[in-house]
Amino acid sequence: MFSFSKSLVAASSKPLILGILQEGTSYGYAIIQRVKEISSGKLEWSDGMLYPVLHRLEKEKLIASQWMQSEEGRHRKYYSITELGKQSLHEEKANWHSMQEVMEALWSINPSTSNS
Amino acid sequence: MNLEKKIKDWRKSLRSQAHLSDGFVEELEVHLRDAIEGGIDRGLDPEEAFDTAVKGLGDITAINQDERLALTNSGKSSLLLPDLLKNFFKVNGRQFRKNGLLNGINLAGLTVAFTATFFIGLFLHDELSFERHHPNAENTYRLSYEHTSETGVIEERAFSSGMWIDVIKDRVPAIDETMRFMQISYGYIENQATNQFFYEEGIYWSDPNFFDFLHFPLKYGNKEDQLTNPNSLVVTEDIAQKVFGMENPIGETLRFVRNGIVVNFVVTGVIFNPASNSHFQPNYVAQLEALQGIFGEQQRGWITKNPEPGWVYTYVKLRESGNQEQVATALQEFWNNAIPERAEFMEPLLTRLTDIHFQPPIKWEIDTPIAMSYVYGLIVIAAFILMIAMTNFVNLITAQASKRQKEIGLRKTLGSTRKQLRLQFFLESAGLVMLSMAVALGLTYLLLPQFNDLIEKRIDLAIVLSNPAIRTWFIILMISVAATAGAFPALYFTRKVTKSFNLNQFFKPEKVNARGRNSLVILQFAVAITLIISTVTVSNQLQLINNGKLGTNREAVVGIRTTRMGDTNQIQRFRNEIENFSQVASSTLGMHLPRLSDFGSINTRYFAPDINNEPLYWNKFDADGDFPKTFDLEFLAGRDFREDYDLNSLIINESAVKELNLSPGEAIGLVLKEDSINYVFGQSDGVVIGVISDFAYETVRKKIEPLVICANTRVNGALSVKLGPGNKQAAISQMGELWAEIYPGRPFEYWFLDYEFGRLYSQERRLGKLIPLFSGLAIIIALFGLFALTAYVSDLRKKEIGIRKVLGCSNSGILRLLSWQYLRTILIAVAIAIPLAWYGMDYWLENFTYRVNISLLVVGGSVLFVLLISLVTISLKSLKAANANPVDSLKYE
Repeated sequence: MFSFSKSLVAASSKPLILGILQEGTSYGYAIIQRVKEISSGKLEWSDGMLYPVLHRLEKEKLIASQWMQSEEGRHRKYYSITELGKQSLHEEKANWHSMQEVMEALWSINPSTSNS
Repeated sequence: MNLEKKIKDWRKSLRSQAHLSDGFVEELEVHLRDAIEGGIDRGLDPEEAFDTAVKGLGDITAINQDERLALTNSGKSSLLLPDLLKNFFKVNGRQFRKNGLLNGINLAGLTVAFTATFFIGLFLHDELSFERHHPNAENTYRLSYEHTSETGVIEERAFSSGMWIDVIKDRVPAIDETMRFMQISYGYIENQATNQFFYEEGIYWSDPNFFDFLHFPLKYGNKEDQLTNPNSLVVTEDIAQKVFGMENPIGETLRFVRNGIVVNFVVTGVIFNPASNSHFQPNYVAQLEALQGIFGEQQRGWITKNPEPGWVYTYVKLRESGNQEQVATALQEFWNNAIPERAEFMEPLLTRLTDIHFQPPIKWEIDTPIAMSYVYGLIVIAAFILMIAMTNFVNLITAQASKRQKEIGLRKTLGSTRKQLRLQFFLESAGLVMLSMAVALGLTYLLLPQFNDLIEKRIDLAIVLSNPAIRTWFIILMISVAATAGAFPALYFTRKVTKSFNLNQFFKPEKVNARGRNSLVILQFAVAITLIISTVTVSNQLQLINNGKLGTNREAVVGIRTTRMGDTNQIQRFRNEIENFSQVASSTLGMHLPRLSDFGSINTRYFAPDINNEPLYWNKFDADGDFPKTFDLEFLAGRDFREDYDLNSLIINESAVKELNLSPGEAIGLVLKEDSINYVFGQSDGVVIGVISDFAYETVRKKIEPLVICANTRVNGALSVKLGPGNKQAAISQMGELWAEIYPGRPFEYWFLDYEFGRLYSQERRLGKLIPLFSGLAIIIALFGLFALTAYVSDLRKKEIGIRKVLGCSNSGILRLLSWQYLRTILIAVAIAIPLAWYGMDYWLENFTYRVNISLLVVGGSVLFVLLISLVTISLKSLKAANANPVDSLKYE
């Protein structure tokens, strides 16, 4: 089965989480589900690893958290993106875009290195 | 299905496996539940759903590691997390309260020490910054001359002639700007509006550029409008208040009256009171031109037309330094032409303005210079004070180490790193030091007026601190002091305690740090004893200088200025009448004492034809027959002048007899011939009828020179009145009333001789107050430290004392035990201090012609004093410990 390398997963975790939280406040389990959904299952994290990342982002003040009662009555810790987080996401986006352009430029000149 | 139980077990194992925060565990549990629900929704049975969910979470150890990494390495993770910091403050607060007395003493000592250091710093800053605030001060020079006498004695003098600079200004292109001023005595200021008279000093008669040349900011008035015409007058804030009773007297009028000649003035400006770090201390500034009128028609132009050196102070600003030679050469050339017969005895003298304060005083110097030995002495005292207080501080902080070992152990167990502990102790100590500095700064500000009064200065904290360099240095110094005080305990604690936390140390706390602390106590006491010995010796020496041996009851002699009072009969009338006053013991008319040499040359050439034909360059002093009586001079041989003033009689001093190699008895009957071109009051060849012991009639910085006292009824410089016991002020006002009757409108000007004499030594007088004050403080701080330390140690050894008592030790045995430990320490300190003080004082005393000996009494007394005080301190505390009921100290275990 297709899977991303560990380092690539780690590198992409920040823009991914920030991007998902940009869509709206969410909690750990839901974030994992959303990741699976948008990557069509290609990107599968070990669920527990999400939390340290969330905590780190929170410590960096990119996201904020709050314990809240959900509609079905479960007590959950909800995360939302901060202004600083939005800025950071903006930068991340730009970085990933330029990275993509670099790769595409490389492969269009030198198609043999491409595996398509 | 026991899903709940499975979840509970999982949670338990999670907690036991990893050190995760409660919040995180809960968060993971919620996740697990969501995942299980998701599994069930997908059609799994609960058990399968649980297993899948747990598997999905992944390796807990790895998560835990990630979590730790996320929380410590990312972002601005610091040594002190906010919570930790809060905890530190809490613990510190408790710690402080727990040893309240100890810490109180510690902080009080430290604060006093910082305050004292700040004051010493302010004093030294004032002394060392002399004249630096004047524009282009480093290229400004005072122009005067050096005089060589016929005997080859070189004397530097501060005066010049007003003519010199006019002549050479155009010849030397290096001269940028010049300024002259004069101060003349014997006149008074009259405020006609209020009909008040003021005898004033510090009246500067100056070239009009005074306020450009020097830095004297105006409080009222424009700089351009000052000294524009001979009627302009500028006064200080103080004079405005004193003479006019108002803050801004611009436009008010005044008269200056001297010998019946009147100069009218209009006030055009008010300057701020002169800063104390300058030898220019004007009260009034007027034009030099205005003074011309006072000398009358005959002497008009005398100031600027006479090539002979007179009472003029001349200053020049050079375009660049290194051109002094050109000025000197031009001046010498002028002398060679204008006053050839004097020129060979004269040498130009250019003294840099900023150097004047640091040179030995020269003749007619208006500055009161400071000897660098005092500067160094004060720096040493300040360093000693700081050292003692810091030693106290470190001592008392580290003394608490044993008590705090439990705390440190606990902190370590709970995961504090050594770095964090070190930082904790550093912040704790440095914080206390900073706090005490802040309090000291406030105290300095509050006490500055009193300090200024004490040392007769005008130090302004705002002006001192407005200098950015001083601010920077001050902050650097303060931070480094705080850092030093903080680093010591921090390193001590972490090294001693965190490295090896073993039981052995835990149960023998006293052993851990006794040696280090003892050496600090030794240091402290060595310094204190050195200071006491030095202080007493310095005080004795200053006393010797201040008292100057000018009669034993100097404070009871009042001088009254009688110069140029015209008719001598009136003076005689005044004198006859006051001698009837009950409080007046005797009076004598003579030359101005004690500032004799300021009022003319007293050097005279004598011959003693009976012995040989060598000229004797002795000092001559004219006085009437009541002089020896009024000043209680001690006769070594011969007798006093007779009642009928035998004008041929002479009294000489001991130094004169020694120079002739005679004994006092052999000198009686000796004939002395005066050979003076200057003599005014008649031939004083005479016969020696008495020999008196030496007394200081000039500054005692110089050796007492041979002196001839001639009986002379016609001198009228000053009337010295010896007062008997009783209210001196009453006697003075009585004399003042009589004066007003005999000399209506003439100021009655008097001075106490001791005060006047003290003015010759104002610097010594100042230091005579400062040095004992600050040394005293240092000693008190040292004793504070000893007291606190003894208190602490006896507290620490309560249990030991209790056990000893239970096992049969007597109270006196306990006392001996506790006292001996500290006495031994102090005795070592004594052994260090004595040679130190001895050597230091011996070195310092070499500056003086007349000096006290370092007496064994002083040394012994100082040591005894310290021993006694420490014994009392120790006994007080030890007695309490010894007398305590052992049950109280033992019952807890």
